[in-house]
Amino acid sequence: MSSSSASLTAQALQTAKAQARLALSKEKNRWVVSDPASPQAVCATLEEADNWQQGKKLLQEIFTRLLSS
Amino acid sequence: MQSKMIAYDPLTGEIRGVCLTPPQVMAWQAQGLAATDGPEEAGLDTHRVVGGQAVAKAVVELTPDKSEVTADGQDQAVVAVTVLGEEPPDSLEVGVGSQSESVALVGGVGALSPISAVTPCTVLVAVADSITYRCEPVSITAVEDVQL
Repeated sequence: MSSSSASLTAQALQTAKAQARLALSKEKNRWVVSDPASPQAVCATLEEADNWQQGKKLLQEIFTRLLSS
Repeated sequence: MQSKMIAYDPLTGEIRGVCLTPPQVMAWQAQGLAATDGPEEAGLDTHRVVGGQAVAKAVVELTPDKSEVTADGQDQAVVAVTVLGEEPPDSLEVGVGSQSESVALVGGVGALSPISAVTPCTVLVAVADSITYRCEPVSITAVEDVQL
């Protein structure tokens, strides 16, 4: 495989991975997209915590998600 | 007109290889592929095989009204879908990120449900069946909603 085709394959894989990571939902006949790894999504998730234990659990979930993406 | 040998998947009609020089037909057959003659312009991206004959893929155009939206959950982009050629289908499966939607077509023309985003991201829109249709994917990028 040439370096250019290997580069294209790597790029395609990266694009597919990024697309697979996105969260999509259909609300009122409209697609709503979000990236769970974005700072906005992370902050929104942490804001849901009512206490330290919940925050700690959510942080663990966020890091697990980020490491697997 | 010069022809070339085409290797294709006999189940789907997807072209897997083309060859202008004497082809390795046996090697292709060993991989479960079938072989046929095709026109010079036949290619993996532009043609498929139907009934043993190489035919051009139907062209689909995806036209977004805008390629960038604000990631506020309100701003949205609408992607128009047009299937060119005679006898377009009544519907077409269009991929949105990792999901898909069946878009109803009238006279080959339709529209995907509007796309909005709540965080910055880029979502790809493409035809799901890339064997039957030829289509350039489009991307919709959501940018940060900056409120000063």
